[in-house]
Amino acid sequence: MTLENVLLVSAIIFAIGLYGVLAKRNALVVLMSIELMFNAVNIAAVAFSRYTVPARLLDTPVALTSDAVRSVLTGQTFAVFIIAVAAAEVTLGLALALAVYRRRESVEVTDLTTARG
Amino acid sequence: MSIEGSAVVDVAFWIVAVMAIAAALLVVTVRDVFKAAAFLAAAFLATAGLFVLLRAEFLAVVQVLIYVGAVSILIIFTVMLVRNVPGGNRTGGPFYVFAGAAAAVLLALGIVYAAFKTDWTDLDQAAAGDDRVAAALTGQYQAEAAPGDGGIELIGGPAADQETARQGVFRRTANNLGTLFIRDYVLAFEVISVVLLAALIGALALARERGAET
Repeated sequence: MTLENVLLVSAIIFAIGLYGVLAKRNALVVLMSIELMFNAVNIAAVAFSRYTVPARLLDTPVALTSDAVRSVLTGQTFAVFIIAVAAAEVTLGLALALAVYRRRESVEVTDLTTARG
Repeated sequence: MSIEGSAVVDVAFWIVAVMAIAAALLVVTVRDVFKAAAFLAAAFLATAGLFVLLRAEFLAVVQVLIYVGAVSILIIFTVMLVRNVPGGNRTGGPFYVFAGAAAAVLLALGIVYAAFKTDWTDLDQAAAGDDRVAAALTGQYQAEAAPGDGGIELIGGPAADQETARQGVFRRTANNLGTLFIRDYVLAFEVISVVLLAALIGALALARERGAET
């Protein structure tokens, strides 16, 4: 289990998500694919946090262990923020899909050719 | 004593990784949208397993609570509300399938090439070889908060070996993450709260039945 292997898994999941976004017609499946891509990014952020040294540690040695530990944990902090943004995004996306379905009886992106209600 | 670095972790990693990739593939290939949503929950769970193996226990719990517990359920509810989705999990046609697959394969190859080509500064090796990094990362923790710092303080001499450094960094992850949120990233933390509130209100406004206005 090395950084490269984790990044490989992350890249594959991200690519699957990208395929889903580009090729799928159902807006709900497109949203699911976007969530997959968010997940792949989270995996990469956590892997970098686990396996690489922050430049701050190499350039200027910090005095306190707690500061050093926190700079290593930056990747995990990032992942928490990504999760929060993804949750907000999926909530809005699903609400939009529901609103569109009420008006047009369809959630296919090919039917959404105009921005008018 | 930790089992890190042993074959057990490797085997567990590949099992979880294959589960995550297979579930993700099924999300974009099964015909039934409801099944796709269920496989998405499986992919989220496998990701939580990956987080545990990457020493991010707090994130694994957050992943299960938010993604598996909230996002998947929300998606499944929406799939059930959008009854008899015409055509199910259809693609946009052969052109879109080809273009999407080509873009995905190219992107994956590019990322993998960059990942294997780059010379990463390895945390474990740096902790064992670089004195400054080792001094920063190792040492014994003081349980009480140091005045003026509010956190934990280095009191012991550095012990420059990988195992100590690893355990020092990834011990009490949740505590250190909490400190990061209310000190270094407090602005982002407050902004994300407002974003979540705005998303909540926006979702309510969007999903409201048109005739229900009073």
